[in-house]
Formats: sequence, C-alpha cells, structure tokens
Amino acid sequence: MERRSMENVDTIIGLNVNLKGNLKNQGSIQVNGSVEGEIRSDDNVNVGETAVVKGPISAKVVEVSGTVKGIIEASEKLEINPTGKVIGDINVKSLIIKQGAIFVGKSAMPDQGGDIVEAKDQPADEKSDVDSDKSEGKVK
Amino acid sequence: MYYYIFDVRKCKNRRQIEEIKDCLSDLGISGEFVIPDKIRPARDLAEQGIFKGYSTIIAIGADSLIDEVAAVMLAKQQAFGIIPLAASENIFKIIGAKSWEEAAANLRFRRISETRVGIINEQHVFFSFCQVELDRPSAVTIEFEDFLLQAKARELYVANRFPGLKKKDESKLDIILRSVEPKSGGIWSRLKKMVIGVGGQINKELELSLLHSDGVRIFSPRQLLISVDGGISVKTPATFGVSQKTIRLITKRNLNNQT
Repeated sequence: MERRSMENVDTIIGLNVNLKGNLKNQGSIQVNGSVEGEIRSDDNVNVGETAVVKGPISAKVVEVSGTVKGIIEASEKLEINPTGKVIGDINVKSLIIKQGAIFVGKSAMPDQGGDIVEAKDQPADEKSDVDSDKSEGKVK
Repeated sequence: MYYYIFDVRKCKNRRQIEEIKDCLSDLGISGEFVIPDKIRPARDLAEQGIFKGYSTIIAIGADSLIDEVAAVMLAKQQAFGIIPLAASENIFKIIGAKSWEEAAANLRFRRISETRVGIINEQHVFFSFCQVELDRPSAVTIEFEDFLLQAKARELYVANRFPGLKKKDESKLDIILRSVEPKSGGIWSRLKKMVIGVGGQINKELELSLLHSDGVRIFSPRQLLISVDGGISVKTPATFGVSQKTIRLITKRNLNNQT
C-alpha cells in the first residue's frame, strides 16, 4: 500500500469506487472515483481528473480537475483546472478558472460587507477577485 | 501482583521460556504464570487472574492471544501488559518496544495509556487490523453511517492501527481499500484498454481509498473470509466498530501517539 497519498489527505475516494450518500466530517478529501451525494468539508476538497461528483460540494478550498455536476460553495477559493468541468452554480470568495476548463452556471461572490454579489452574464475576467491571468476558460 | 498468560508455543525453544521467566525475575516483576490451552483458553485465564486480585495481567504471545486477553481487559481497573512473541510489528509499535526484552523492561514502569480497540461483530477485539481475504478481486459494499461505498476490491483492511499509517482520530477506524476496474465488455472499456494498454497504465495510487468511521458494515455477494490480526477468521457480512471503553495498556514511557 502506498503511504504517500495517505499522509497528505485525510480521506481518499479511489478510482473505480462508487460512493452514494453524504460525505462529511472526513477532513480534507481527495476524490478520484465517483460520488453521488453531498460532499462537505471544513478543509480542502480536491476533485481529481478521474473523478465524477454529482451533488453539491461545500468546503474551504475546492480544486476541480475532474467533473462536478452540482453547486459549489468555497469559503476561500475555487480553482478549476484545465481538465476540470463544473456544471452548476458556484458561490466562492475567490475564483480561478484555468485555460481549457469548462464552467456552466452562475457565479456569486460575497463582497467585502459579506453580501452576495451575483456575477451572471459577465465574462470571467470582468468578475471581482478572479485571477485574470488564469481565467481564460470556457465560461458560459 | 503480576499475572502472566504465557503462550509457550510461541517460544523458539524451551530455553526461551526459562529465559523470559529469568528476565522478569531479574526485573523484580515475577508473578504467577499460566499457560492457555483448549480447556482453559486465554480469555478464561484472564478473568481468573482478575478474580484472584492481580493488579496487572500480562499476555506473552502473538497477536491473537493479545486480542483474546484484551477483550477481557476492556473497562477493567487492572493494567494490561504485553510481551510480544512472534507478534506483528504493529504490536511492538503500539507498546513502543523493539523486542520482548524491552517490552518486559517497560512493564516495570507501569506507564499507562488508555487505549481503544477495534471490535468485530460485537464479539472479537483487535488491536491492529482485520484483512478481508481476497484471492481475486471481489465486489464489496461498505456501509458507513451516512453513505454506501461500492467497489471491486483487490485489498481491503479495517484497521484500529494500520502499520505505517498515523492514527488521526482515536475514536475511529481506518478503512483502507484498493479497488480495480469492474469487468465490462462494453465498447468504452475496450476502447480504453486500446488506449492505455491491456493491464493498464493507471496510476496505482489512484486506486487507493482511505476513509474513517466509528463503525462500518461490510457485505459482499460471495462470502469472504476476514482474518482478525492474522488469527481468527469471521465471514462477511461483518460489522466493525471501536470500543467505547478503554484498556489500561502499559506502554513505553514518553510514547507519543502510536503509528
């Protein structure tokens, strides 16, 4: 058994694994398999290239390299990598969409006063807090 | 004061039996020695030791003997000592000793660590881990409190303490699974094999799953054997949990959270 990945994250959902239900209170989570249900973490959630998540994700930092069909709430940051695909609304403090990434949905960001600011129908690079160098993805 | 349950079959030879007894005598912690057998199993002997009023019950032997005595020691005031003989490396790590001699020396200081153990089918306890015996990849379903996990497993362990894995939460078991791709004759599967090659070039690390829970249930379409700390076997379906009560285990002084 490889120990390297076990040391870096608290919970790993491996490739070829199907999880149905709500995954919460499991620390930082690495998903490489398939999840149907809610993922909630006070820490980081990393959706790997081979992963498919059908359901909402709520975490401090969410990094997507696979597919997510559901609402994403990230209290700190959402990063969609070039292989990542997000179909669903997002509510994030900070957003990075890298070139090649796919995002279909509405995005909202809390402003400094804590209120939610909807940023629909705007190109990604016009949104506040968006990393303009990395937000050239296919934002619809 | 010391009550030793001694599995002499785990000694290399008769000389080692005397060697251990002499060592304990030299350390000033000699006591009553009893040998478990079919008529008087270790569990009965441990209960007898407690009944006789001994303050420290010590198992001398391998993992299965240690588990058997540990089951009796749950929630008891008496201290539980271990002198591992032909035991797994994990047991040595749990008590913080590298040899039986060091384990014997640690008994003298009576540094007590409140320790939880794993429980299978509300019957057997385990210090280390249970392994689902898989001669070939098999479909398994693991039921957690809030979710179900399904996979074709190549390796599956339910661990109280898994060798090399740092335990993050004493009240939870670690579930370690290595899964394989379910068999499929579909066009997608064939195409994928053509692309990545038969046998696959998939990163083996991706096949690894690690989860934590205070209780799980494992079931499978075909009945699978589960070995408990390399000893007794049970069959699926099986229920695993962590003891709410603790054992007063004697460990090495200044031993941090075991790995």
